[in-house]
Amino acid sequence: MFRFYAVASALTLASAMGLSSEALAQSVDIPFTASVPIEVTFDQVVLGTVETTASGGSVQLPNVIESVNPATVTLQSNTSATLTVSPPSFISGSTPDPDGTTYVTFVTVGTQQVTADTAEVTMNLPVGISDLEVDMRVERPVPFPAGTYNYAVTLTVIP
Amino acid sequence: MIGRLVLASGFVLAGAVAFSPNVLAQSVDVIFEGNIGEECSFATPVPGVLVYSGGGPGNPPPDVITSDAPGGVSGTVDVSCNIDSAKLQISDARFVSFTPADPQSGPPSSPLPPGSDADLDVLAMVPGAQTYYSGRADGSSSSSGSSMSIFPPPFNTGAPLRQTVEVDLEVNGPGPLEAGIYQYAVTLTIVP
Repeated sequence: MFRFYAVASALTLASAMGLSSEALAQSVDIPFTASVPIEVTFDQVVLGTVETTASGGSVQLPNVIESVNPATVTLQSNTSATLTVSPPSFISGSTPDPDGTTYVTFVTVGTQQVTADTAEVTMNLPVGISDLEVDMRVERPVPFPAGTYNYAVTLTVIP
Repeated sequence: MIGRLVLASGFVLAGAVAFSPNVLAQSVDVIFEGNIGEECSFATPVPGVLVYSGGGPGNPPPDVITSDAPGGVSGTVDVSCNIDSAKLQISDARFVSFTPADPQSGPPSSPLPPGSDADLDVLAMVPGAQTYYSGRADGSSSSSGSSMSIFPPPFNTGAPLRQTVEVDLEVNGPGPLEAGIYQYAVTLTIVP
């Protein structure tokens, strides 16, 4: 008798569950999130050309190295960014730069231009592709001894 | 529970990367290369002055005018170089002009201007080195000494490569020299 009730109760419960399926309908939203990382890249660095000149006065031999054609750098950024431009720095040459040497970097982006001489300077860059033109000028108070000289301008972009 | 913690940590890490833009700062060095060739440059020369030092009326020729005698002045020129191994040579010495002291002295005794066929001796000097040149003022013959170092040792390395070259000229007749103003030129050449 007890087993009969137990079976009957089980059937009743199963029926109840089977007949109340609408009450169990549920919906769920599955979220998708995309995080596009901030990214900036330098590419297509094309070296510039320089010439050597004498600044005049008592100096008759070349004491100036300056751009005649700018170096060009393409920068791609998917966010607005800040570009830091350094003055030219001596990399190699017959002799190190003496005291009194002056350094200037000019960077042009579209209609913007910045000049870095005694310290780094910054400029804002828009989202997208920026074509930078980089010129430099180094002037010594005395002539350059004959040889090959290398100077570097460091560009740093911070998103 | 452990899986849930791992998942949460993953989100935290992803968030840190996405919101730390400074780690994406990039730099590039733009290199500029310049070549300075070996070069020297002369400043404006200071003319020398020749004085009469021999011959003359009552004395046997040749008459001599020279910068290397009392009252004479050596010609000088400053030369600057960007290489300390530069050398210099006297490449020419020549007659330039003669202006008679008395324009009414009558027709010249010779078709050639006085002093144009003189023998010239030139000496160029820097401290520690010298070179010479001998030749006819009309350029018909000449001989040069070997080139001299403009910055002979012990030149102070590190000092500006600037030197004063002193030039003396002696003009020998060959016969009596007519009264007047004589001009000569000496050519100095930087040689490799």
